[in-house]
Amino acid sequence: MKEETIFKNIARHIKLDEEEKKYFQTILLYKQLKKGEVLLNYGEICTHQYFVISGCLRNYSIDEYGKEHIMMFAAPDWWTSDMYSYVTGLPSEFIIDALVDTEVFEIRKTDMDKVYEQIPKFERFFRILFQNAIVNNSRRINSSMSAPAEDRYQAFIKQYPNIYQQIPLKYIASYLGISPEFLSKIRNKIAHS
Amino acid sequence: MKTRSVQQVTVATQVQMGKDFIYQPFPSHQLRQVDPFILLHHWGPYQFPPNNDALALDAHPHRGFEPVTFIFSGEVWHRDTMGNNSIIKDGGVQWMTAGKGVLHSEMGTDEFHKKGGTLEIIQVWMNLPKRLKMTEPNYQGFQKDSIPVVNQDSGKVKIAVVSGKVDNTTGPIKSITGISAYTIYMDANSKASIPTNADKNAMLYMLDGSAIVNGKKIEQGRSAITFNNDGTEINIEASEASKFLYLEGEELKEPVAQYGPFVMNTTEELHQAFEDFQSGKMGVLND
Repeated sequence: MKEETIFKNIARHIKLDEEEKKYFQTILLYKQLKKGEVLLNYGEICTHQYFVISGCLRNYSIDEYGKEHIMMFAAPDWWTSDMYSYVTGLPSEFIIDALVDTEVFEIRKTDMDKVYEQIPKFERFFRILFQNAIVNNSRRINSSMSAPAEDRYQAFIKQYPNIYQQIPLKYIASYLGISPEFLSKIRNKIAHS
Repeated sequence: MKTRSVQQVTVATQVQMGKDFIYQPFPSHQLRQVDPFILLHHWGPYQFPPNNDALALDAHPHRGFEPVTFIFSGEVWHRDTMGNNSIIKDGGVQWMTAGKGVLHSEMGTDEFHKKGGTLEIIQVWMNLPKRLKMTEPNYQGFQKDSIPVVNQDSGKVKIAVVSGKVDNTTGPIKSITGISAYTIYMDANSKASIPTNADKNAMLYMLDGSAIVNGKKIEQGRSAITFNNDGTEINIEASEASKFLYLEGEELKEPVAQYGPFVMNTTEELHQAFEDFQSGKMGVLND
């Protein structure tokens, strides 16, 4: 059952009884995405949180010279969204699309707000999730400003142990803010060391 | 002749673009755009040593506007899906009408990479009106010696007419929207008088130097000066050697939807632009 994956994820931080699970299940919207399919487009207002069941999503922006800047990948068992648009209700500046065929659960913001009222321990669950996200983001910003590319690549492998081999090199390079050629050199160096 | 009053002076902010830092007076919080000019990127001046990798804007698409590059120092190698392959050196211009969609690359040249030197360029995005957004793409590249110069103040001021007309001198670029564009080089203690059309929006960007523009002291380089539509002349008094880019165009007064490399009127049109790019409708540019 696909719901088991999300309940397993939730169980890491809070314990739900059967009735709560049943209620939570009613707000989960299952969606399948083909490789390349867009889940959230720039200019749209992000009204959902997404949980990845299988596959991989990427969250990215595009600059004036057509260069893609990948903010994050969402592997199976990850949550993602565009929090800026989700919180402010303003159009998204990011695109979320599927790198490979992907399955997700979507949760509407209006349903999520009701969950917080009905099952307050979800406040705790998402507090922990957002805490972790803030820690990860600040570490990523700091390392992008100060750490050598090789260290950043090693950190990437640690963060995405199950999917890094499936993600094309050019996307990993974009995430790290380096050229694909430079990433190839780093990979070769690591392979021969 | 009545001079145009200065509306606003906006100093460019530094923006990180990949590994380069560039300067962007607009769009910014202080100055959204100078309709029809929607973006100005000032690169450099950067000093590159021999064996450098200066300027590497790989193949990328555009639709709905005209990206125009003024080369003040160094050289830029342009290639596009229309088959153009053109190296333009300092004093020249690369004027591309993206229209319905084209891919181009803007790179440093092999010679520049090998020898090094100074690179200073400005890219301006000139918006196209709704009726021309899907026009056929076009590229116009001109070297310095094809761009006529109007001398003022006994030759202490040189106005290179890229597009439009100053006195009886007409620039080589054929602008489909009637844009005027001049690069202006002034010696220290010189005076220039730029004729301007009060019905059109005008912008003067001071790359470097120090000057008084229609009575307003411009304290620092990398400043965009915008004007009210109330006169037919812009007077510049340069106290130091100074460099300017002057742009003038008809206000479009249309909604602007911009994301990444596309400028359309609606978000739906932007989504369509991405779809068309991804499905190869704008062509493919091989390395």
